[in-house]
Amino acid sequence: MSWTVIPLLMLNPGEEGEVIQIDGGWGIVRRLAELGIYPGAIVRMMNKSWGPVVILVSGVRIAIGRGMARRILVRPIRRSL
Amino acid sequence: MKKIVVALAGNPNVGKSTLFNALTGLRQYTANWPGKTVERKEGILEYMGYEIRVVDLPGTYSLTAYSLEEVLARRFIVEEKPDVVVHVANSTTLEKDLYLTIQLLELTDKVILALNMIDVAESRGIKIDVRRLSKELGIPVIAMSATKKIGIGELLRTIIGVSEGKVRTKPLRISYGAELEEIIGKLTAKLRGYDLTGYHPRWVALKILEGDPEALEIVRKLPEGDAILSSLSSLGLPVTCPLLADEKDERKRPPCSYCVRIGNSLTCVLIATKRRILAKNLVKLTVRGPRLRTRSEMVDKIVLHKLLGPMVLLCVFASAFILVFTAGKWISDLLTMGVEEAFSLIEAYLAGLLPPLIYDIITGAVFSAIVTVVSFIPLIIMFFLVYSVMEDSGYLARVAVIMDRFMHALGLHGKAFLSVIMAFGCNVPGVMATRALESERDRLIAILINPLVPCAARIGVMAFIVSLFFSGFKATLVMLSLIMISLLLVALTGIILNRLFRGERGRELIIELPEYRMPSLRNVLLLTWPRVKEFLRRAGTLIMLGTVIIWVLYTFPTGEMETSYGGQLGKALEPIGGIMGLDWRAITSLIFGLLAKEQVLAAMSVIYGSELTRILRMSWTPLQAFTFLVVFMIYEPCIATIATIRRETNSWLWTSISLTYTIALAILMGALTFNIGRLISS
Repeated sequence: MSWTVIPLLMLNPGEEGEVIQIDGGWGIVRRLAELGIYPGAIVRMMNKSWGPVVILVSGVRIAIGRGMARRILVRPIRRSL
Repeated sequence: MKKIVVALAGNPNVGKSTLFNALTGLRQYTANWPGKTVERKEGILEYMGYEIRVVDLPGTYSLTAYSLEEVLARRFIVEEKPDVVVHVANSTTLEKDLYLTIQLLELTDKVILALNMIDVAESRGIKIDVRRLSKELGIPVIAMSATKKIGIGELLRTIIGVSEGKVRTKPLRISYGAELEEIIGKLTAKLRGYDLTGYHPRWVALKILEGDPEALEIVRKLPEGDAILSSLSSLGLPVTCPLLADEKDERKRPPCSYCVRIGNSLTCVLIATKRRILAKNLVKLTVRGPRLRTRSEMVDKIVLHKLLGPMVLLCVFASAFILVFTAGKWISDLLTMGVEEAFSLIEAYLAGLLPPLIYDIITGAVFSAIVTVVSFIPLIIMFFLVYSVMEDSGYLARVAVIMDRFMHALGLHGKAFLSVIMAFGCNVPGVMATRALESERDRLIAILINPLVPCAARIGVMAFIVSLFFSGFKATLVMLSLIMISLLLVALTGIILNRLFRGERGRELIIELPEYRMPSLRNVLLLTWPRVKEFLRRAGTLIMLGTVIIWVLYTFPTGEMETSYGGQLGKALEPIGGIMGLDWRAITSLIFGLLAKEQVLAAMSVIYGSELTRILRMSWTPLQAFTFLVVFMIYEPCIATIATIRRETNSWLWTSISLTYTIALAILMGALTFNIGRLISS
């Protein structure tokens, strides 16, 4: 299991990661937690062509700004086939 | 008759309001939660000899006291003890929704899970094992669809069954794992016997470990509250949350200083994670079929593409625009013709019956007001229809994403653009749509730029005047350039305000992107109707009143236009008009746009006389017409918008700043347009 932690923004489309830490104020952490983005959650990068990135969390697509995606740290999950 | 109180809980966007409407029909009323600005909706229905009172709780994602909505929802459940809580969930995003179900089960036993939108889930090949889910959760689970009216009878019968105790519930008790349970157990034991304002000791213990502010407050107020809290340190190591340790601003730090470390993690994180894992496992056990539609992904590849996305957006908006203003105009012409025809018949009939003064008011003012309103209703309806189709299909959320980059220049994020789009229909809902913005500063900027977006009423008037002076392709160009001017001013104003306002910059965009779907006629109509109704209410009263006032002002005291009160006012303002090349008649017409922008045409037909078209063509050069339109487009918002700005900013200062700014800007732009135009043409 890899323990490298990278910003969510660095995930490529299709890749998944486990949220480790959210670097931000109380309000942001709370708002993200409401939408299912909290430490321990599994997120999948869906689209990051331009502007906000689209991620998938527990079956729901959420668009978040790039700056915020940079401050969400995730541990990439490598799927062994 | 036996009475039952039912509370509807659920995430936002799960069709909770649709179910509420389906249950209560027209027997509903709206109030605010005591002392709060959050809306509280209640309704009553009768079923099988029971009077069922339905309370629509605010939409929440969780039940921790992070937001006002969450506090109100859980206080209602604990304090007013509804007989049954119905959790309305979206069948297509069950995992997300079950997170709330699990929390509701910790708060009360009498929960029913209503799997709404089951028809949508089925059409996507999602199969939910309802009986298994019900067994696992220990509560009744009803598959239903509020829009298709499936399962509503079953839901009502179950509500009665649960409230009568005939349907037994045995809610699932979550175990948070040995280590955590030990701490929860000890804390619960300490809290037993105290008055916890109606909450269960275990629940309060859990909430404290989650860092819930309200639970902390309850415990602090207990006689030995502080002792209980500090005893937590013997249970584990109380730590400052490392997730937020580097937050400098004291106020922004979370109040959860009682987090306990277990291994490498914190209790607040562990508790939330446990619930999530439980939700995930429940979905694994009971849901079969595609969780995600790949079709939405394919569409998003194009719609959110770097280059294609904005192009698609431009095409969608251009066609929406053309649709609204050609189809709308066509229907409007047809209606106006019919109404005018009918009025001329009525006029002939009334001529001998009524005293001259009343006859003049009715034919001169009331009828022309009705014609004005009638000619604009189709435009407004078309606009809101198209907007609702975009909303219901899921495209509107993507628009916020695409526009996010552009809106950053104004210091706003993509959601603010939705209020700009709304403003193209009408500035009143436009200003109200800024409520979706979290930061006060962002809201203020969005509210101040909103009146600069030309609403459908203004665009309608502009299109009419443009058609008098320009034709064919040239007319389209003129219209486009006018709208470009207004959008440029919106951008410029936004950029300046962004520099001026130092306050806290709003957070970045966070928005849920729903799956694309075919808009249903029912949904679109349900979304459109309240918007149209609101417009009609305003238009009906304001325009009617305004037209009568104009008529009076231009008839009294002399009966001659030029020497009437209105004429005198216009003449007094003529010097200002002079710098823009506009005479007193044009200026006076504009003044009446204050009541409603459509009013300007009605005012012109009174001021210039019945042969408006011919007279305007004779007395204005195309440049004067263009200048008039520029001024008309920018200057002060109508009275309904002003009232809305006042209500939403809660400040007369900002309201008057908005008013002064738009008027000054209009005069400046008018003077610029006229004088530059003159220079070029000479």
